[in-house]
Amino acid sequence: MIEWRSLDEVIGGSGLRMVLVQGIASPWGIAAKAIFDVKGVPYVAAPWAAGEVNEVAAAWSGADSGPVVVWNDERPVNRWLDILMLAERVAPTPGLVPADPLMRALMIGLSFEICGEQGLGWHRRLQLFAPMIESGQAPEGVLRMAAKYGYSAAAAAAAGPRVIAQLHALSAQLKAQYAAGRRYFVGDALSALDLYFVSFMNLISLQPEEACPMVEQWRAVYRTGMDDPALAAAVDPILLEHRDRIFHAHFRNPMEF
Amino acid sequence: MLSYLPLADVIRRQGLRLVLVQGFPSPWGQAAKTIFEIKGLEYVVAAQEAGGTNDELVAWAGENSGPVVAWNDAAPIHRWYDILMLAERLAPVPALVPVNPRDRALMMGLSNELCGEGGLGWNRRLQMFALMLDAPDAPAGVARMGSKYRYSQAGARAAGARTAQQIAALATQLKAQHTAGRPFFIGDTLTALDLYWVAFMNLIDLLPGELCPLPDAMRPIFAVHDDTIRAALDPVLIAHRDRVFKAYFRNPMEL
Repeated sequence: MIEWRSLDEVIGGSGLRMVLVQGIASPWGIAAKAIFDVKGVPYVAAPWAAGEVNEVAAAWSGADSGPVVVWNDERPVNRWLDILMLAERVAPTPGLVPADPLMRALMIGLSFEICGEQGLGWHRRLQLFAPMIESGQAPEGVLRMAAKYGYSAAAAAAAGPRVIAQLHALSAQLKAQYAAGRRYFVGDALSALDLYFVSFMNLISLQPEEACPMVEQWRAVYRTGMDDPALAAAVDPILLEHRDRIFHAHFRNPMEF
Repeated sequence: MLSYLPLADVIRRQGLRLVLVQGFPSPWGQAAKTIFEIKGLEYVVAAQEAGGTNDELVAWAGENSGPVVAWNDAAPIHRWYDILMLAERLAPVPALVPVNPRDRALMMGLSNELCGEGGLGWNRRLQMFALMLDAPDAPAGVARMGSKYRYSQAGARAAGARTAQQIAALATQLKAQHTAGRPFFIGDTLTALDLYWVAFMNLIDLLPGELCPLPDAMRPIFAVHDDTIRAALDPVLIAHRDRVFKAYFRNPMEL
């Protein structure tokens, strides 16, 4: 179970602390937790309220979204790549970043396709915003997030084909690996990319409630657009198999948030 | 010619503003300005003092490093990938990021091998610090930067082999492209990776004074004393740097 603490305790604490979006399977936070869990680094967490300003946490961390991760008295970090680099430094073993530069480049690059600006998470987020924004009745928090992430009707409309192209690239990589007898996205061992993929697949094919116990209100939001036949066709069975296998082997079950 | 404005002016303005390390071919800054120049985006510039406290910059951008890039009222950014994404958004043509997801992934991943934490720039910086920090009475500015980038003797010792591996990976990629008849690192066209390579290669093989007018007194800082790095620098990489520099960079580089 996540050890939830007050923000003051997290700010004033030592060791590894996080500020995590509470109550939602935010894939950036789920991945950050999984990385530190796999490495056996204990942490405590304070909640980040989705869609809210989170003034104190933002002023302390300089970040405008969760997760925020801080190690001892270092500066808090918030970007997925900074969090991964911190994890590799705090606990080098097991390594989740390949040592070979070309393999590492592919791993980091495909992770950008999932976690980065214009990545799969970015595009699906635009799609999730769309019905609420276009209804003209979006809650203030959604409006704030939509502005932050550059929402427009055109960007949301363009998101679908981009997500599909990204899923095709991921399934092609995975098929090449499986054909070579390798059961991970890159190389012969688990990397952060496998963990990012599991975390973000909830935006493509939501895990059942017993594995991802998010309230129905949020599950409905996550399911936005999942009934698009083009998206469904892009979800190659190998992606689901890989998600399920990595989840059962390396994630807390059920997911915690 | 770069015309450095007072930082307060740059902060006050709208449009595209850059804060660059002044007087030094910082590869992150050289790459950023070249990306905007290729896209035809006009910008104004203020100076960051290498090793200085840059208090006004820190108060505004939350960061004591260059480049810092700001667009209108948006928060200033400093990471190489944020700057690239901003450039793509402001001026999508010519695109410097491939459309194909796999090409894009490889381009971003190899760019991270140059620009990112643990990348070639990071590793060479540790080696540069070592010469000064392991000597008595290291300058305060260098000590400050060494602390910021977590300098250690062990890290500096490991940097040579890591840099050599990164150079070898880039040579492998470029040779594969040339074999397929493609003159760039990725795909059929120029990408940001080609620009990053030119900018960062100054840390391995500094351009001559007429192309990169760094004062003679400072040029030894860039010298490579590590045989493994020199051995890894395949001629194909030098030829690529020279070709892309002449075709796409301001000549001479502006510092």
